[in-house]
Amino acid sequence: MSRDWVVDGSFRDPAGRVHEHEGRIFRTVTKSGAPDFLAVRDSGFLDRLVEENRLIPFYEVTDPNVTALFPRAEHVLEHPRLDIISYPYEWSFGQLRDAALFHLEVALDALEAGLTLSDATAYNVQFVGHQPVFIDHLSFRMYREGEFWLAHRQFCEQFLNPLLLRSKLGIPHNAWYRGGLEGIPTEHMVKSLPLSSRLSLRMNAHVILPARFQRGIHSDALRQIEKKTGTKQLPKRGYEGLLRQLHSWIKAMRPKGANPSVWATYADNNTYSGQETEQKRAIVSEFSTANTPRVILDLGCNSGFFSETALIGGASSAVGFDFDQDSLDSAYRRAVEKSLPFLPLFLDAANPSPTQGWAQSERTGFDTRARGDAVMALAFIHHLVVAKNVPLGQALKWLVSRAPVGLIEFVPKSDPTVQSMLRLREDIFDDYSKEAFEAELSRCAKIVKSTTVSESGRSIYEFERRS
Amino acid sequence: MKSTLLVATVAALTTTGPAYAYIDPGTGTLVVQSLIGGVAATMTMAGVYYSKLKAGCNGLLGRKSDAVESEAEK
Repeated sequence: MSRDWVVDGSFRDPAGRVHEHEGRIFRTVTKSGAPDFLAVRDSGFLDRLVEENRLIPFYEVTDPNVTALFPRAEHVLEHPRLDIISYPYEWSFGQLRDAALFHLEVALDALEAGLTLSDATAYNVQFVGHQPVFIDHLSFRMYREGEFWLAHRQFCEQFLNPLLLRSKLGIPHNAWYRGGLEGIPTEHMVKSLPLSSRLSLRMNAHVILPARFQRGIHSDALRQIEKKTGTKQLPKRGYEGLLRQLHSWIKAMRPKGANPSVWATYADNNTYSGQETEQKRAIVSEFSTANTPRVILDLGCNSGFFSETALIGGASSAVGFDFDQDSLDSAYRRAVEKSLPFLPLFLDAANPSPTQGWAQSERTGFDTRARGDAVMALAFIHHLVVAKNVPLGQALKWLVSRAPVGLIEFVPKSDPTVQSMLRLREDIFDDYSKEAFEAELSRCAKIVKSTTVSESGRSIYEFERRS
Repeated sequence: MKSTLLVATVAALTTTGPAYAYIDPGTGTLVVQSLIGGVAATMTMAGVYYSKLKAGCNGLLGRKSDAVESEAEK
């Protein structure tokens, strides 16, 4: 972060910058961005979106102590701070799909109000709980009659192509998206599509033909173009038609091979019933009621059953993490259907999101963003220690660093799940025992209490981190 | 044909595009938009009239209409 506290991910748009100063979030509007900002603000459209909870609120700052911090800014806005920032490569298919639909709906409403969006980056959408919210007030500008949808390619690469990857090919978008950061290039998407896609008008309009014509533009063509001018335009209804066509297409998308009835609603694949589950539920509920965390992290959240338990118990919001795509989709559906302040995100705990992008600081890593007031890791640690060979002490230290208090479940070797993980491999985990677990946890935290919850010896430990 | 199309489209890009975009819109998408823009406009208009017609019919039959949703699905 530089001297004027610029958030490194906000450098692209010359209309303004985002700054973080003493825990407060400011947006400065530059001289070049001011005319459009004023026109859009005065149209009342931003206020309308804020009222509809579709745009993060903004307050124009007049306090000279604050404006003096940004001497070159034409305007200074302040925004409420979001509990957690997430990125499209951490979203489930359902979240990316809903973010895409949300973006298109905002774009359609903007067009109706005589405005347009200057970009279509998925990073301009954040989730507050399960609800998408737009965060870039400077993306809006006045619509000019006949203009093209200049952000079409960006929309396709950041929303459409990653969704096609899963819906047409069954490949989750997360790893590819994280690798490329700006989505899936259309040129790459075309090469991956099945031959039958070439018969689809929509596929041709938004993927195949743009890639083909992009390839065709070379220096010779550009030289010819330099000699001529034209007045070719996109009618406003055509602009609207493109947005509506994409909306209709994306709305109907499902992951390839997904059981429609399962995918349409959340499903508890694990049997959250019986005495063990009831005991776990009671422990989570009691813990949440006692600590009332503003944000509780749920590592290995599965379909979100215990996140929901924590919310009922007294947590204000929950952020879940899981690496299983079906579980994430179920968890997201649970959050949507029950209107829970719960945000499930993709995480491979052995390879969390890094800090990356321009200057290796544009998008911050998991470690910086995923901090809570409390953490729970139920039926989780064996996936790190046994499945990924992460040393037990390191895994516990990492978990405890997430929040000052929490719950961690120890799953012993005698448990059928761990037995199944060891069935086809050598047991190299001599130090994976209850005694070793307690000793390692005690190094970085105080064990408040422990409760055995299964006949196989599963135990839940409540801890307080040592300062 | 192809070069004429490219000339027309990228000419449009040079007259309307760069002044408004801080991202590279990509020439391929502008070629396609110039190709299908008229079709998309026609389809949108057809969708609007279809929604109005449907809303009118529903009104006559005393049913609630969901014109916005229908229109969005065009």
